[in-house]
Amino acid sequence: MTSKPTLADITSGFEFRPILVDVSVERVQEYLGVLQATPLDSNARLVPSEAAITFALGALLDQYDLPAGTVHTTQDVRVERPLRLGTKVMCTARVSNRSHRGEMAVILLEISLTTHRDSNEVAMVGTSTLLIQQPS
Amino acid sequence: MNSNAIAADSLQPFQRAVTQDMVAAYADISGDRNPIHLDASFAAGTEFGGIVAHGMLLYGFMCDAMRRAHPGPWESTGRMRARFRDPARPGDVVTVTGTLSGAGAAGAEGDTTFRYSLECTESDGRVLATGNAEVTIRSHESSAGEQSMESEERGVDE
Repeated sequence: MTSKPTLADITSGFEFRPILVDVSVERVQEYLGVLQATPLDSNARLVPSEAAITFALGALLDQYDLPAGTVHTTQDVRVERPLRLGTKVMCTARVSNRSHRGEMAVILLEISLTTHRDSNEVAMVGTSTLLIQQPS
Repeated sequence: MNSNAIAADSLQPFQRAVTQDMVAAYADISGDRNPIHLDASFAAGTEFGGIVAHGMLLYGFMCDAMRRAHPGPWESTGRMRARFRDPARPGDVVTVTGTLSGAGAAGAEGDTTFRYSLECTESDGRVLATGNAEVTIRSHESSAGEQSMESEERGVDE
């Protein structure tokens, strides 16, 4: 059995392998249901950015484990272009900075979601700050 | 300023009870199964002393406040910058509030960008998360405009 590398191992400038992210109506509805948030109405055509970024972060965790005790301290997401429900988007991400605060590594993760078609237009961009316990 | 743009001085406040079931369900949908959210014995040994909810759960609450106020424009132009200050825990009741902090002309003629300051607070007064949000109302749509209207104007990715 092989284990995934962890986010504690990655360095500044590291780029994740691009990965497709599914933003189906059913998945978005499930996400909104967990939050007890306003459900999609019957006319809804667009993906709420909060759902898309949640799925994108989850897709990155398919590649790298989050070390136990990791703390998420900030999140910024901006919609560049509306994204239709039921599409798949390409998620790319890189570590734009890594620094240290005591025994914790501070990782700045830049995420971009692009439409998965020829034009590859950016739909959403986000930045996450994670505090990760350094391996002892 | 866009005469069609409507923004209340404050967002409609609401409350969410954070439960372990909600945290576990969020772990499933997000793929973040960090034991700090799920394993009481592990979490007890951390600086938090017990299970804490995902910060992104609070992020979702604040975004929901924006979606309620600006359905359509939120999905097509929204931005949320959030800071997670103190973790929510199962048993907490989170109140989500937001106030209009500014408005100004956006890129295209007649478009208006509204800015809000949001907070998630616990009933004991702890500020769990703060957010700064922006949403732009296009000149051809009202705040509660149909998604189909704006989509046709801006083009929706398929």
